[in-house]
Order: sequence, then structure tokens, then C-alpha cells
Amino acid sequence: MKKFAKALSLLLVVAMVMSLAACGGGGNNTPANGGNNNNAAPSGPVKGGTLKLAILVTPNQSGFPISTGTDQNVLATTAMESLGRYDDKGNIVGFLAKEIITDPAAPSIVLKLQEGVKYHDGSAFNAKAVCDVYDILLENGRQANFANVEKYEATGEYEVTIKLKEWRSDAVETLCITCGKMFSPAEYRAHDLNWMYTHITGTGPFVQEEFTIGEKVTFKRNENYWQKDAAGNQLPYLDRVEWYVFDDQTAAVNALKTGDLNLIVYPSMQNYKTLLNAGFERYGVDSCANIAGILGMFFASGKEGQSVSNLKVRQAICYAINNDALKTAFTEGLGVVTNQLGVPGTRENNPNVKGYPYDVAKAKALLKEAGYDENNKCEVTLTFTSAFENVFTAVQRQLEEAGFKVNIDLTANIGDKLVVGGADPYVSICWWSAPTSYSAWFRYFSAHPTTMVGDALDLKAAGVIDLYDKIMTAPDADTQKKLLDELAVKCVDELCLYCPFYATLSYYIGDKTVKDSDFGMRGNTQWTPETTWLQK
Amino acid sequence: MGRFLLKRLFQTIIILIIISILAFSLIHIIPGDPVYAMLGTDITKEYHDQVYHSMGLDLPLVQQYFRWISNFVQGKMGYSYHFKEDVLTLVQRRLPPTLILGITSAIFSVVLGLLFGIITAVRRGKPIDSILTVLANIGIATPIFWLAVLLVFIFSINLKWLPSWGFTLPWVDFAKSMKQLIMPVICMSVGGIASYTRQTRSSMLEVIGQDYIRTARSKGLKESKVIMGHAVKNALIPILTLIGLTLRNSIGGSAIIERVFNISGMGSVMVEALGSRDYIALQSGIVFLALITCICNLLVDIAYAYADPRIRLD
Repeated sequence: MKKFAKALSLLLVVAMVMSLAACGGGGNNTPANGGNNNNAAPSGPVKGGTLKLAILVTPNQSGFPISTGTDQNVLATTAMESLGRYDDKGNIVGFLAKEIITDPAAPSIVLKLQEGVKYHDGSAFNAKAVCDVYDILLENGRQANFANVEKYEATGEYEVTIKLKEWRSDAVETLCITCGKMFSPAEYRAHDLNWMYTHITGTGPFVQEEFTIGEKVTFKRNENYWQKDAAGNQLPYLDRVEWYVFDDQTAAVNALKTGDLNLIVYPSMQNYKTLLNAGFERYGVDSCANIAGILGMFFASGKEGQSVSNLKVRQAICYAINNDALKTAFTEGLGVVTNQLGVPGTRENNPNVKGYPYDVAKAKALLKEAGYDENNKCEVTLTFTSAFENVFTAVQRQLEEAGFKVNIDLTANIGDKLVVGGADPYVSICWWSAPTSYSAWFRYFSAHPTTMVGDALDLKAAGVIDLYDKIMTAPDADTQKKLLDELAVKCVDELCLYCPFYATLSYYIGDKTVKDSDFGMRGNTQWTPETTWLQK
Repeated sequence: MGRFLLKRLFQTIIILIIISILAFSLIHIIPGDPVYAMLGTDITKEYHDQVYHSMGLDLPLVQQYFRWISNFVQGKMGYSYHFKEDVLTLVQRRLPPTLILGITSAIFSVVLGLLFGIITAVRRGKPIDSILTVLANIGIATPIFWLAVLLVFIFSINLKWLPSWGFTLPWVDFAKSMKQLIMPVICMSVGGIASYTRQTRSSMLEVIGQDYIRTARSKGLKESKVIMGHAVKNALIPILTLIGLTLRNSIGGSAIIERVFNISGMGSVMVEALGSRDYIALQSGIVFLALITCICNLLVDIAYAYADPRIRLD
């Protein structure tokens, strides 16, 4: 019996050691190879190889990547190119449109297209194809993107002229990036939208081979690709690009550690940090071009007579939130705290905005001024999705500490709930992953806001819409910057329209072998598959 | 036996109808708009309504239910707007990994569980009984996701013996398939082996104490004949119920293992369909899995009736 007891003890000890070892993290699983991530190694590009990437959401409409998530756009970029591209400073430069000529006075945009480019289906990429793509977008409910377009027409075989109703500074981005992804119109006409969703037929350096939703999307080299490198070598360098769908991030992290993958697109900050500590490499830069969005709250349904229609209540809410604590707790310290939609470091940021630094006493005082006290608590509802449950549990606690009574409204689809007007009818504060660039703020400040900012008060009466319109039609960059600063002060210090917590960056992390990919260097949806190569 | 079968079949149909109604109505209670989930929120209201109409979502719920169920009965499971393919095709593609995983782990569970159960019962009070009983208790208490992470850490990341993810059909690449199957099957079998061990042990102990076993021994039969010919046969009857449950759990409950090992099976289909408000894929998937469960239960009932004539007579 004694022998048995010893054996049993030994068994339990082994089990405990194994458990502890498993909890210990990455161990010595350092990534293959060394070198700088996006910089070409001195030896120069190497031809061949298969780039294997993990995508953590299921792509199911990458062949028609309009209004899809950033992940699907990144994947689509493997085979589909756009009229314009972002450079590493966030400016739009010509790509499939080799020249983008703007004339604010006319107002118009002329696109001079690359010549001799062919789609993967063999059809020609020319002015007619661009107009056809625009037609197809309009046929599929994208009128909002063309609201400012009077007409577009082919004014040459490789020239498209777009006549605008008025000059707006987001026109190039809308028409050359958002709606500028050039899928094959011939393929669309030969099939239908459903077919297009899973058939990425562009002009890009890779041709789609297999698209199995929920499993993988694979591409092989486009032998007839239109670009050559500086030395005159045919691009792309890689033989294949394979995207694997991972429902569970841990599985992707393990696959990266075992060397089955080269790179993970947008891991959680926790996994990103773990992998970074284990010796893997960050792709991309910490800059405005790479900001995924801001996590924060907007005040919704704040109609007259309801609590968040009162400016003092809104300000009290902002004072009650400890952004630094949230950032530290939920971004592994990697987020960027911001008091406005323009994140520090971006052109849109106004450093003179005072904002509402964490001050519970001030929050309580403002609530008192607004007519609320212990016996008559100010009631608010937090609406959010389960993905942010942890953050909003902390927010709930902070608001309660300042004297609010907080209700929770956990929803499955926040966008759907707000767009169709399903938010709490009396008072609701909703999280929103806000864009950081002014050109994407149209949904909040245009004459037809589609989301909740317009619910907090009459934006037109408050002069916000006028101000935003002036920004969009500003004749030069300096005037625009002045107006942007004015908008930031108005929205934050004067009207307190929203309560941003922190900005998160788009992360790509890999095994150091991926070179010249520009992942995380050109906005969060673009990379350069044609110049990407793998260091052996 | 014929009447017994008819009765069970009738019950199965009633159960499936109830499940289909429950699945349909519960899914439609979940908030969220499938059109916005599918196309994003930047589309115009008119386009949203057009797509909503084309998907038949503007019809009264009762009409939607009957349209779906009548198509389902005819083998037309509908079109999944998230997976962009016919649900039947989707099931045909995603069911084999789940079935292979489920059936393999069920076989391991039953065979090893019975073996260990018999050993522990026959060697009651001996060290082997104590060791296996302790291991069975550990097996029951072990969370499978934890075990999966542990195995991946040891055998994939550190030792690099086994792949940490993926699934290949055995007829495509047998060696790769076996390598990929080892860890998921271990994870899915551990709980089953432990349950079978405990259940078989207690069932065997009960049977071994019966008069007819003593009679068999007193007749001078060999111990192996007594155990295998008399004890095991009778002890197996309560185990049959457990076999039905194991099959059901293995096939319907593989979602966790599929996620951890990134296996594209039915479990992940259901999880994704739920997240994307893919009503058709979700409700058809639920009814399909319910159908498999009912078939498993029916087979167990038949086996039960075959093994124990009293059940047929009841």
C-alpha cells in the first residue's frame, strides 16, 4: 500500500508540474530567423515561398470588399488592387490610377489609369471597367458613397472624369479607396453578387485558388502581373499566399509558435504582448496610419427632458471615467488615451482641448448641479456587445462610484441596434469603435448622421454640421486644420458629445521572416503583397 | 419488436418537430438584423429592405417556419448567407471532421472505458483498482479545453511531435490525418473513458454479487468464462444508455475541441452561424444534429430491447 501511495504521489506531482509548465507561457519558442521586420535584408528579395497568415474573423465577402471589416479588406488586398493607395504618411497616392488629378474649383477628379493591366479573368482594366465598378456599387446600395458625385464617365480609354456636386476633401478617399477596389465587372455580370463574395477577381499580384468560408483562402502567383521591381524583375516574389481562418486566437498563437504560420493579423493586445515577449516581431508602426479605432461612448437618445440631454450630466459621465486605468487594464498599456476623436499624434488632434480628466468629486458636483442626488439618482443605460463586457463592467463601477445608477443593455449587434433605432428609448450610452480620421466622421456629423451622435442634441442647431461641412469643403490644409481644431473644442469642451476612452492600434505579429510587406504601414487595410518576400 | 420500433419512431418524429419549433423561435428571439450583419450598416434603408424581402424575412414567422420546415423535410436545407452556400453542401463538407472525431473518440471511450471498468471490478481493492479509479476521477474532473492546451504545449510547441491545428480527411492523407487526430481524440475521449470506467465498475460489481454468478462459479466454470460470458453481458445493459449519450455528446459537443485545434467541423459552423445571425444555417444545423441524436437514441433503444427482452414486452 505504501508503494501505491508513493506512485500516486509521484503521479500527482507530475500532473501538477505539467500544469504549471503549461501556464508558464511561451517558453523558449523563439521565432525563426532574425532581422528587421519590414526592412529589406541586405541580401535583397528572395523569390519563392509561401506566406501563411492567420485571420481571426471569417472572411465571407472579400470578393466584394465594400463596407466589410478591415480584416476582410486586408485579405482582399492579396488579389484586388485599388485606384489609390495610402503612403506611409497617410496620404493617398495613385496606384491603379497612376495619376489622381483633383480640381477643387471645377469641382472634379480625373483618374489617369495604368495601361495594359488585366484582371485575373483576362478582361481589360480600363476606364470602362472603372465606370462599371461604380455602376455595380450603385446597384448594390452604396448610394451614400456617391451622394456628392454628379456624374462619372470614361473620357478616354484610360481616363475617367468624375464631376462632383461640390468639392469635398474626402472625395478622393471615397472614390479611390473605399469604392476604389477594382473587382472585375465582367465576372460580376457573368455571375452575381453571391458568387463575387467568395471569388476575389482583381488585378493583384496573386490569383485566388480556393475560398472556403470558415477555413482558408489560398492564392497563387499571378504570372501576368503588371508590375516589375526597380531592377526589372517580375513581381510578385512569393509563390503563394495562404490565409487560414482561426476562430480561436490561442490556436493561431500556437500555430505561430510551432512555425506553421508566418504572421497573425490583428491579435488581441494580450496575445500580441505575449508573442512580443516571446521574441516575435511587430509589423507596422505606432502612428495615425495604423490606428484601428477608438473605444469610447456616445450619448444616444438624449432627447429633451432626458438625463443625457443635460450637458452637466454628460460632463459628469466624462469626469467619472478613468481612461488611464481602463487603458492599463484592457490594452496591456498599449492603447493611447485620448479626450477627442483625433488621437494624439494625428492631424485631427487639438492639444488645446481641455477634455474631462478623471475627477470623481467634480462629477458628483456636476450631478448635484443637474438636480440629482442620493435619493434621486441619475439613471443611465450602458449598451454594448459582449466583446467589451470587461471594459464596461469597469465603466459601470466607475459611474456608480460617481453616483449614477447604471443599467446594462448587452446587445448582439450594436450597429444594428443604433441604426434601426433600437437603443434604449430614454437614455443610453453606447460604445462605438470610432474612426480617427475626419474624412470618416461623416456618419457622425454629416447632414444625415447614421449613428447616435445626432441623438444627443440637434447638431444642426448647435452648428456642428455647418462646421463639419466647412472642414470637408475647406480650400486649403491650413484652413481645414483650424476648423478641425474648432470642431474638436466644440464637440468636446462645449457640447460634450462623446466620451472616448482610448485608441487601439492594429497589430500584426509574426516570425521575422516576412519582409517588405508594409503590414501596418499604410493604414490598417492595405499592404503590399507584390513586394513581400520571405527570408529563408 | 415491430410495434416497439414504430412507437419509438413516432416519438422521434414528435421530438424533432418540437425541437424544430424551439430552434426556430428561439433563434428569432435573439436580437440583431441578419441583413446588417451580412452587408454592414452603410447600405441604404431601401437596399436593406430589398435584401430583407428577398430573404423572406418580412413574412410572418409562422409562414417562415412552415416554408423552412417543408423544404427541410424535402432535403432542401436552405441557403446560408454567411457561408454563401447551400446548407446541405455545408453540412456535407463540415460533418465528416465532426463525425470522424466523434466516432473515433466514442470508440476509444467505450473500448478503454469498458476494459478499465472490468479490470477495476475484477481486481477490486487491489492497487490497479485504486490507480484506475483515481485516474478516472481525474479524467472526469479535467476540463477538456485545459487538457487540450496542455497537450498542445507539450507535444506541439515543445516537443514538436504533433501538429497543433488542422484536420485532414484520412482518405486524403492518412498519416497527416492520424497525426492531427491524436490530440483532439485524446481530449474528447478522456471524459468518456473515465465515465465508462466508473459506470462499468459499479455495474460489474453489482452483477458479480448476484446469485447466478455464484452459481456459475460453483459449477466450476473458469473465471474468465464467468466474467465474460455471464457478468459482462449483463453489466453492459446500463452501459448501453451511456453509449448513446457518448455519441450524442461527441458529435454535438465538439465545438470546444474544434475551436482549440482549429478544426472546421459542425461545432464551429453552429458557433459562427449564431454570431452572424445566419438563421437558416443555425436552425437547420440544430435540427440536423437533433436528428443524429435521435437516431443514436433509437439505435440504443433497439440495442436495449434486444439485450433485455423485458423492455420490448413493456
